[in-house]
Amino acid sequence: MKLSNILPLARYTFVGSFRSKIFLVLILFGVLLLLSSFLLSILGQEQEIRVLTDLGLASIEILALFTSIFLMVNLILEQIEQRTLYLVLTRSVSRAEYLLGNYFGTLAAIFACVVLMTLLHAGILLFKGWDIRAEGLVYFASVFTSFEKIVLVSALGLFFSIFSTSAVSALVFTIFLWISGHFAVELKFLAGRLEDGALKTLFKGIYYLVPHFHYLNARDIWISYSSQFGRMIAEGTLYTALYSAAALLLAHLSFRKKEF
Amino acid sequence: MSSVLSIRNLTKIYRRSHLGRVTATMGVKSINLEIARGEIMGLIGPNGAGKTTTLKLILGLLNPTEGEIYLMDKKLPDSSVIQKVGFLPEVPYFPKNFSVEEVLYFYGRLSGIPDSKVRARADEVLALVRMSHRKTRMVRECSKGMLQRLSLAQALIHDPELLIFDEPITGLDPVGLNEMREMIVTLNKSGKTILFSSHIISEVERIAHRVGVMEGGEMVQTLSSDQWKGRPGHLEEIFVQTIHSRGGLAV
Ligand SMILES: Nc1ncnc2c1ncn2[C@@H]1O[C@H](COP(=O)(O)OP(=O)(O)OP(=O)(O)O)[C@@H](O)[C@H]1O
Ligand SMILES: [Mg+2]
Repeated sequence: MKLSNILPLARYTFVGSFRSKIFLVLILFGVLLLLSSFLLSILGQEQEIRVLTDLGLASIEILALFTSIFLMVNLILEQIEQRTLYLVLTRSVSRAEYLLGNYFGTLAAIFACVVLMTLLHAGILLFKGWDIRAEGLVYFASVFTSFEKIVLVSALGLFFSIFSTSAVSALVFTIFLWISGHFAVELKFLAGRLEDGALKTLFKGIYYLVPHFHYLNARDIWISYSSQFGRMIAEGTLYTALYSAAALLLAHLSFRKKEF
Repeated sequence: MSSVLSIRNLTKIYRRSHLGRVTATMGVKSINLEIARGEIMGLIGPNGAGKTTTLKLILGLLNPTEGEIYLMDKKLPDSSVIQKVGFLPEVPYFPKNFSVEEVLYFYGRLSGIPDSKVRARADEVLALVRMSHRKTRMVRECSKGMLQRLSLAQALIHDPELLIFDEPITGLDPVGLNEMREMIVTLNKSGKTILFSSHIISEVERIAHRVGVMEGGEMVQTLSSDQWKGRPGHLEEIFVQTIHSRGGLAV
């Protein structure tokens, strides 16, 4: 695996996704959403900053997440369909390098998008008199963990798109896992209450399969465990890395022998 | 004679499974082929004869069902030796959100040319295919002829030893055809080995040193230029006879 192959691939994927119109529309949409949350917050006068923070963080996460799922499920399939991958794979680029270059390039584009939206949002908050010294840490940690969710879900999207060879079913699978990930704690609870047996094993299995988003909610973690905040964020990061690596490995296994 | 490419007993059966039903299509069957350094080898055959399949197998876009391919004595797939191959696909496929020069930088980098040298090299090949004045044009705004030139440029960017061209002269206007013919001959004179497929037998006759006739996935016959040189139209006669003797033109 050569970095000198992955980097140019990532760079071109990055530039290409910024130049594709869909992405620009989504950025524009993000800006509009942030601006409208700014207007909405005028209604809830007392809790203005609170509402503005919640709405903004939620919109950044959802928007970036859906953009990334959409980009990821189409990423490779589009290149297969348009056959642009012929001229890449017939060079000394391994299949793994090709996947990683595309994955990291797209993530970098999403990351840039998240940074832009966050800067805009934080700017509006500051303008409204937000106390960044008191709230900044949790705020930026929260954006960081949102991005971790994107890293993880993106890897799933990439895997499903290659595995199912259809963007629509990949989209359905990815969103299904994304939703189930929010019920990981409930799944564990349920499994704990069941009698030993097949059903319990099943629920436990599903619990380990779905992404554990409760490791990646900085604000909940802050509220419940503020004394161990740093350690828990680090654990969440490790979890993200491992889960994403596993999904990428599966993507690689189904891509390795593919024919075009 | 040192062999650049050696294909041994190569078979490809396409398998498709749809809703549990598996369909198998013969791509190519037990092909043997040796190409010597400095040769121009043409592949001819009716539609569906297996020309593209053969080329894709060499390039690693398909996995052989049986048999082996050796490129410069290395068994394929091998990511280091594939660097010595340039490929011109049947239809030019490029990412559309990039300019002509950007596309070339990209492929140049992926072919192992360092960042510091890739621009100069891209300018060289652009001059070679007469596209220098179009280098800032976006790919989506290029005409078919320009795309074909860009396609050739990307195949040459890393100065490969073996060139694999899938139907390089199909769909070109007379001027383009003439240029491409000259290009192939010039490249060959500068030492490159060339393997190409085509339907236009009158052209193949003028360019190729040797020809492989394919039909129904099989390499029916290989001919060398002294079997048709000086007799215009003779290669076509041989071709038609060969195909007819095998039971007509299959599609
Ligand atoms: N992806 C594929 N899946 C299934 N069958 C295929 C596939 N690609 C090619 N074939 C079949 O393999 C055989 C050889 O096709 P191939 O494309 O190699 O022919 P060709 O000689 O390049 O034809 P043409 O002159 O039309 O380009 C044909 O019967 C074709 O239908
Ligand atoms: Mg073909």
